[in-house]
Amino acid sequence: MTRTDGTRGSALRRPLLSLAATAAVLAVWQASGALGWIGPNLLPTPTEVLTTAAELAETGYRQVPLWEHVAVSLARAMAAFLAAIATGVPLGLVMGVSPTASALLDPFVQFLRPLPKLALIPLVIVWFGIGEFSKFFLIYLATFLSVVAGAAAAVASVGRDRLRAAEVLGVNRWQMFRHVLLPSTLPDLFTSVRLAIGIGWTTLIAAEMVAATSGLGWMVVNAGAYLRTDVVLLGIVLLGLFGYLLDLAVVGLRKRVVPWMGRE
Amino acid sequence: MDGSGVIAPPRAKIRVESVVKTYAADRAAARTTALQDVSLHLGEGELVCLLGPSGCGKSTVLNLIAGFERPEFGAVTVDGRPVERPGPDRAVVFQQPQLFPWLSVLDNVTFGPRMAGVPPARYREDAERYLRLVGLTGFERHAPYELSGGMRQRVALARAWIANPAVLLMDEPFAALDAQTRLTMQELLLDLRRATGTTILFVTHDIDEALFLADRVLVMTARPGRIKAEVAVPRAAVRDFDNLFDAPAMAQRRHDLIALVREEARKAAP
Ligand SMILES: Nc1ncnc2c1ncn2[C@@H]1O[C@H](COP(=O)(O)OP(=O)(O)OP(=O)(O)O)[C@@H](O)[C@H]1O
Ligand SMILES: [Mg+2]
Repeated sequence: MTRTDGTRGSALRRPLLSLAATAAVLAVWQASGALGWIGPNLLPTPTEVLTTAAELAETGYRQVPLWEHVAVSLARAMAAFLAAIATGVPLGLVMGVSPTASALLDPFVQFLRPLPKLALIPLVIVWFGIGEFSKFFLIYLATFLSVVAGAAAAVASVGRDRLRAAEVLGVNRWQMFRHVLLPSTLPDLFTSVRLAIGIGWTTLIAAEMVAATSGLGWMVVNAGAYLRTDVVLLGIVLLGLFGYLLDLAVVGLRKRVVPWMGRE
Repeated sequence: MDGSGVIAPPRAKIRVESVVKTYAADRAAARTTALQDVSLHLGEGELVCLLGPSGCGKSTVLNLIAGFERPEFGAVTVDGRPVERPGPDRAVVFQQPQLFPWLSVLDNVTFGPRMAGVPPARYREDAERYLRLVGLTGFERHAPYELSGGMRQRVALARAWIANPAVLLMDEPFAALDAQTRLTMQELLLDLRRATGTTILFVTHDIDEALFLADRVLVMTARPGRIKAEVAVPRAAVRDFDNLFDAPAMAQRRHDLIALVREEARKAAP
């Protein structure tokens, strides 16, 4: 990590610092329990959480194996994310391109988007019952609205001179959209998908409060009711971990698809 | 030497007649008058440089001819037809290269023909030729963000030229380049233009650049812009850039232009 070895050093520096910070927090957390600063029921230590993880992996939580809780939550979230991106990106782009579409739809998007999705749970149950679809719908809605707003904004931020440069090269309206506008919005689209997935993942716990019997969100809420703070913490760690992995996946994909981001 | 005294010859390729252009200002009630009764013309195959202090309306003139903007009063015509929208008959090179970063150098250069549905066999040779002329052979597969600023601008020049436009509009295209690259680009521009006879309007701040390139130099007043003076360049006296002002006729014109531009620059920024 010397100065002369600048690129390699700085490439390693970041993960090492992150790792060190994580290790430090874990150590303090562990010490707080081991030294009796905080009672084990208030904050189980990392090793206790690990033990619980091993236990649940073997025997499951409420008759459901731990991996299934993870898989169920991931499946719900991924289905909702994919549907939200597949519908939200085109709609947002149309709103970005067409002032009429924007004028018609923007009030609804902007009204619904900041609404806490928890408030919708009673209605969603009345409409769709307590099945899978209700949970899907809540995550979908949160992600979708965020993607729509982001995609519309992405169109608006495409530089005027880039569009002019394309115009003088003789593109027609469709070519302008397909070959200039769409690729130009990719960096911002990735950013808004990234944010939207963060929001959607947060909605997971709300969605799984709708009479679920499995899933990480449900596990946390259920364990809380029985004061199983170790399971609650395990659930939180897993929710955070998979949220983080999802984000890494999106960033990785972005690096492949939009290698020019930030390098123009 | 007054702008209104300029009479367009019958064979004018581009005519700008008594144009007024104002812009709304977001934070002020009054509109900004960018152009106040501007008239100019470019003959077929002429290379005219537009010179003037910052903010005097040079880009506005170019944008009107390109069709990006419409005048409030007056007329802008190319080949006698009013300009209504941008089109591939009027290529533009901007101060920033404005390449498409998701396309390779080659795909950027061939963007126009590809969008027009020209079969690859018909533009491939041209693309190779223009890339060679701008010194970028071997960089066809590179991405724009892997090139230096000067290389990017050379790609932009090849991209503008490949469509064989009748008119080329250039807005301070070489201003961001280092002196050596700029000179290479200027020489390239003169070569290409000699070979193709393209009509070129070239906006610049740089008096030496204007004299090296232009058949005629138009000097604008400070905002609101008008044409203040017209200086014809004796092209026979122009040889290489290093000895540009050896000829007394050229030295005299440089002297005149410096005086004209200084006077307006003082008005623009007192
Ligand atoms: N899009 C715009 N909106 C509002 N005002 C504008 C706009 N473009 C230009 N102007 C105004 O018009 C005037 C002329 O602008 P223009 O860009 O043509 O100047 P310029 O001669 O090209 O300057 P520079 O040499 O700095 O590029 C400016 O003083 C500016 O106030
Ligand atoms: Mg300008």
